[in-house]
Amino acid sequence: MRPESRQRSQEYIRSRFNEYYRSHTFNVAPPTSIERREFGFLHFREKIMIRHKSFKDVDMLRRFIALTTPSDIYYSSAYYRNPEAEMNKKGWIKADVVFDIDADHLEIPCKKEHDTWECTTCGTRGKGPPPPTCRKCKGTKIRDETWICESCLEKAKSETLKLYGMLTEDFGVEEGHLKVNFTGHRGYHIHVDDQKMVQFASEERKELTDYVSGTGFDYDSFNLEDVIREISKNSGLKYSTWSHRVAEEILSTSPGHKTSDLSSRGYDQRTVEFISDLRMKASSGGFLHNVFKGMTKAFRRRLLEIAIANCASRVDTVVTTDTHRLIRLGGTLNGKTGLKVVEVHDLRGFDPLTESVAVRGPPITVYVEESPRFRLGGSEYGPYSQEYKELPTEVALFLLCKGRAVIGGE
Amino acid sequence: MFDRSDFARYPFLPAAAKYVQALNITQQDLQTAEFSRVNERAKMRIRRALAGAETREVAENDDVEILSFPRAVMLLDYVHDDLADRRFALYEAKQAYGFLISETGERLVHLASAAFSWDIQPLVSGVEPRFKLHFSDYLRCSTAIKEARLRLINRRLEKGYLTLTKAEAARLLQEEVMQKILSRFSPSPPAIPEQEMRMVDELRELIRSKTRRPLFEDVPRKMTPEAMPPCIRWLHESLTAGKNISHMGRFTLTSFLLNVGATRDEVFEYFRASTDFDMEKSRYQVEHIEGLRGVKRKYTPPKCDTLRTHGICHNPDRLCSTLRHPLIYYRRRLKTGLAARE
Repeated sequence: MRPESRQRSQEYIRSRFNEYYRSHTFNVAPPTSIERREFGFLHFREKIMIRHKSFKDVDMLRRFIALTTPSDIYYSSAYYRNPEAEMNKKGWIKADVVFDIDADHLEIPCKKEHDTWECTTCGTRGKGPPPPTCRKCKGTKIRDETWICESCLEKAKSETLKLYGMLTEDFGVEEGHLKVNFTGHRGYHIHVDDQKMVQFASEERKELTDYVSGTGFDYDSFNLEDVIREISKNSGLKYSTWSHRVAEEILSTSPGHKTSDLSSRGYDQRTVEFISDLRMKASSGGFLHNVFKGMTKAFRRRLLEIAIANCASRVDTVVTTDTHRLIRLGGTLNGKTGLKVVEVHDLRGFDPLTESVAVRGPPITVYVEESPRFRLGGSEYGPYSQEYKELPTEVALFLLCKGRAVIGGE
Repeated sequence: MFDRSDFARYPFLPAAAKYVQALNITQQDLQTAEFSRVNERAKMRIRRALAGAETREVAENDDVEILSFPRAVMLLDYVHDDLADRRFALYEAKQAYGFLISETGERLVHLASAAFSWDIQPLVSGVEPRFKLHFSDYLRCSTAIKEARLRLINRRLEKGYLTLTKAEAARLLQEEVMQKILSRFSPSPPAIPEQEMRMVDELRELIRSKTRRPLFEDVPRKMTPEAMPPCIRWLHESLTAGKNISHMGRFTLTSFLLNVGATRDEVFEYFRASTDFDMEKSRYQVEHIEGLRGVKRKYTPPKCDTLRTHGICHNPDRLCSTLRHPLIYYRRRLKTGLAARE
């Protein structure tokens, strides 16, 4: 694509963002104690973060956004005495605990289908994750272009649901202190402003991260039969909550599980056989004593690792342990998609590809380089390949932001 | 609820501090003959702490015991030696543990809530006393203790509370006591009154003779790739294979290399194979980690536990299981000889 087409596209995106930020439909979700937060902005032209900004109130923030039209807007999870000072002089007071779940960090088969890369030297393109060097010119400057599809978003949602469950059930966080945001791209953020948790240092946050992601599980003290007995007696004192969770994952969840279900959940053939056998024995009131202990240590470990992976929520470990993190601001647009960062009230029923559409308008013509079939705002589009298409503003904007289309000519 | 004998055993209690304050002791009082027993006892506390004494002591006189604690803190504050402060806090905290373990469940709950505002309740169950503690209080202490069974993931956690035995509660309180004592030391050295100089010098000499500083500094300035731990080798191999490694991985590799004597150019060599190598950006980041930019602090790589959290610990070997930091691995490997590698 010619550079001038790219530039015209950028200008188009920027003016749509600007319209949105000037309109009444733009409702920024201000963080609590806005005057204590640091703000950061990415701009369309210079792709560098302008940070260490702060605002007295939400009106000043709104005005600043409308005036400068950034491509992406962030605020600090931390509260500072001097949010505009340089890092070591800010005076950290406390910080919301933030969890980030992003399809980028999840292993999903569909990525091989829809993620693409482009060599910026010779223009060669390919599917899947970017190779270390370009297959044609051996260049090393490769740009990868990710895509979002229903199954990426479903996977991210199910990881978020697991996390939400642990936060409310295990940690007892009240729902009023939890906020779930769709990021406008491939994932979700959970913000926790529980008054005790906001005081946590990085060490404590690391322990939370390990907990929700299943890291550090004590394999050696786990005995499946003992845990099952404890669960059935309802005397939960000896074994950990995670031991119960893992035992239930292996055994008691839907006894009717077919073996194909188990293999789709990541169990390999031997573990599937073991689980099926164990379930049969258990349902016929058979004697389970030491069946688990009788297996080799390596086998037990593998079985548990798979079960733990199924129960764990794969959060971005760096985000949660960072007490100075900048995080996307609710109500603002994501420069990678043109979609809005939106607060989610009913996670199970939430449809990210409809509810995050913020900018709408009449159809415009764009040249689409390449795009798989996708759904946005309730309608389906594509697949497209090197063609001119007249598309509703929100759809064109989405393709432009994703770098899959340009305004006018090739 | 607390009396003087409690203050003698738990001198860190807020009520004990109030008791001492009410005595209105002046700087002059500290130099009097009357006070010499307190001074002697304070020095004894420090001496025992530096020697790593484990034994539990019984107070001969409650007031001497109570006063010698803040007096020891005051003297150590003048000396202003981080390692000595830590030894002292640990020793005092272990003393407290010794007393706590023999308290009744009810008293333990009372102490924990009075001294540290713990959200703790006794549980009615069986013979052995058990307690229900909020995870936020738990984590503040447990993160300092490296025992698998104390990791949050290995505990019963329901609606924000976990269950503890008395021994566990006392062990956690030991950490809390240690933190509390450490927080009493001033961040920058206070002015030392003339009349205190003699005692301070005496203590400085004692500390010098009793402590050995286990810093990373004795690593030779020539890099030895064969001594590198598995995580660092894995990071290096991933880079050479053209795999993309996370930001945390890059930070770990860079800070490790800089700490084992690699030059900036040697670090760049490691990253040149990377798919998105950008000389300008790398230079900025490396200089940051070297402590030449930003907060001007030279970084060391994260400890093993943190590397595990971020998925950077790969193929740990037998030596790994005995230590907690990649730089310690490297130094140990250099010392014990490279041939020992299996």
